[in-house]
Amino acid sequence: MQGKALLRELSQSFGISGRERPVREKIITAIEPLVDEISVDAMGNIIALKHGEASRRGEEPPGTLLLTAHMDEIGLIVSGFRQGFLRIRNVGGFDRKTLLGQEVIIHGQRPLHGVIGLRPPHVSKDDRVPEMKDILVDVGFSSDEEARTLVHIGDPITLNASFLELLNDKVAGKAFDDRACVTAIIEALRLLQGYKHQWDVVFLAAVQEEVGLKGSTTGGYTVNPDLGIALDVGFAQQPGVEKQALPAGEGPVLAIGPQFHTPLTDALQEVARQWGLSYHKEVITGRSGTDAWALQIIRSGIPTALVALSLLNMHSVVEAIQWQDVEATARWMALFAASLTAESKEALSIALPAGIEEGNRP
Amino acid sequence: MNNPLNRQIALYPLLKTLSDLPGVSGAEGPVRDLIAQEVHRYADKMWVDALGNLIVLKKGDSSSTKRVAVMAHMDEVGLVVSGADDKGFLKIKSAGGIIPNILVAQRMKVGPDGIPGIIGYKPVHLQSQEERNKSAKMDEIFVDIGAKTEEEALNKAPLGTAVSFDREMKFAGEPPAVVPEDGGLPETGRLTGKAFDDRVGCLAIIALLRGERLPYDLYAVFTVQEEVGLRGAPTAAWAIQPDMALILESTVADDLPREEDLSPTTRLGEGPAITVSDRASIADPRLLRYFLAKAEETQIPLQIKQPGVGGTDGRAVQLTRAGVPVAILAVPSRYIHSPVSLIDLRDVHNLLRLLEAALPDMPAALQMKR
Repeated sequence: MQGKALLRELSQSFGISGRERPVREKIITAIEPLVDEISVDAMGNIIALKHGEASRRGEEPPGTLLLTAHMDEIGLIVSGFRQGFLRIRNVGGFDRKTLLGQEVIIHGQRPLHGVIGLRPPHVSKDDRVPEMKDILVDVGFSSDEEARTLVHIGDPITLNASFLELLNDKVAGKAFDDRACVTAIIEALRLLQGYKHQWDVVFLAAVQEEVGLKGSTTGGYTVNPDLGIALDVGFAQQPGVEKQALPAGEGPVLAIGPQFHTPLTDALQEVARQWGLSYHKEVITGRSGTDAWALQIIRSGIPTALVALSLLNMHSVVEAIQWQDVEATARWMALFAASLTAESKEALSIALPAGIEEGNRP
Repeated sequence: MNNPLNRQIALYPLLKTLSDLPGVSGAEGPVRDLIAQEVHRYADKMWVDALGNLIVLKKGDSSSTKRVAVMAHMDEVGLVVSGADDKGFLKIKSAGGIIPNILVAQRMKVGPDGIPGIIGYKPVHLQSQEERNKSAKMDEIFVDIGAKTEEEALNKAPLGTAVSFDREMKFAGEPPAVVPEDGGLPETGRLTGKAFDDRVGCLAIIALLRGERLPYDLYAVFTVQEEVGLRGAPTAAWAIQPDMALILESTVADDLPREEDLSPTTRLGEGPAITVSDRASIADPRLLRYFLAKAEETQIPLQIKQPGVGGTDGRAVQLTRAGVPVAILAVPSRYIHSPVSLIDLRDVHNLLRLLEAALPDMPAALQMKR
């Protein structure tokens, strides 16, 4: 499975933060033919290694490049019962309006369909958005006793939404944040099958990003790469979001700012220039809210860049992207990985002024 | 309990098709075509009037000269394309009562070809605390079909194109243990879908048409444009001149957990609901007494809809020509006018049972004192 079909498969898979097993299994199946080693760590991260030419010959690789995207999706969790309805808590940040009128799947002993309704206009003049505590899932149970036979407190709930192909190669569905980027990295690994690359390339499919960048924190520690690139979704222009965002469909977005390692971002741009790839730049000076934030300060620090896919309607079941942005991102990542040589590690490090000797690191 | 109207009829797949088909007010064509196909072989006469109502005559056994109209509306609430912005996002207006919050993050079908569309909204990350608590407004709702320009958008979806919810009917919770092999409706279970209001009424009339001949001429009427102000029913009733009319509907079940003890209007699973009065009409007292007595006699659950909520084609039919006695029976549904309305199959069965038991003698009800 590849391309758009792979994105469809991953989007339709389940895996709220901390309960990622179903989507993890799908990702492992997709990458098995593309990498040399796969492991799953204590948190549930997938760490997949594709050997470069040096490793292939049994030599020390000149460097390790990490590409990471997160596999978890925002969702809900059963927190109690009320007259046969399920009380819920959110896992990750929701606009409560996006929950009304949605179908959900409760992942208990058996998957069950439920809905989140809204009192109709005939009886409701209330135009406030219901508080989270008042939003209940209706599974059609008549009593708490009946509900408790099939559902338990703590069962994860995912939103249920189909994958849609719109006009002009625009696609929509749930959990494109961040499975569109997971797809881009898998497609980059596929492209790398045809390239000779010197560096080892590690794909970290991270868990629990939506609840505080947790998977990348431990996964990044294990991989301890020489360079790291986090791929996540960014805001695309849409009605109500004209000024703070970039248009979808014009290539990926490279983050520029204090947290993003300047020699690495320069090198990414150099590769784009060489191959004529189009991309946008966006200045981010504070928290990026992505795994790049965690990756940067692992161990003694990892040179980190952030590449973003422009997404509409983030954190809803109608997240939408331009498919060509996924392909462009995959191509950029693969070409960058292949551009790395034995000299790259030194070339991309922040050096002391010429003529001053480096002392011993602790 | 045996249910003759459910026999030999694949009502379950039919209900799914009916609920899933797009049929926003003014664009009921797909629903009308399906119903016409399903009922033409039971019809003695069938026609579509100027507004698009489908009228089907099933003659009586000639023991009575009465004419009885049984009516349900084909249309569902939805949206209509009213323009496009320069980035290709479709502007819309609502057809029927829709709360804008329910539209946020929905998948939609646009136009007769069902072009997929989505309704996005400013991401939560970019909303202020105030915006997060604020309800969406209709003028913030756009349908995105992927078009890049105003011209492309309006070329694919010209002004007036109907936009319906995209939702497949399914069981909420566990599907019932026993599902009839012949496609009959399972006895129990709760279904969720987008248009039970009023495709479940259409389903009941289709079942009636396929059943035994009644003593009187039965006019089955599938109306248009109920949701935009009861536009279809009056012209159909004018043409038929019925002696009495029965409206089959799906109505508000507001039996949700709440802090205060408010009117639930109707409750799911407690039988079909009969209307005493709603915001649009007062039921004929003889027909009301007749149905309540029949239900009691046959031990079929029937609940009285708490007065004051909603309105139906009953109003339009009642005021036709010199006036028509009207009764309204409805299947309770939670969350109507949303893509996740929810009904209990027991209520559908009990409606069919009550129709089976009560329809043959219904004209006699008018002999009673008012």
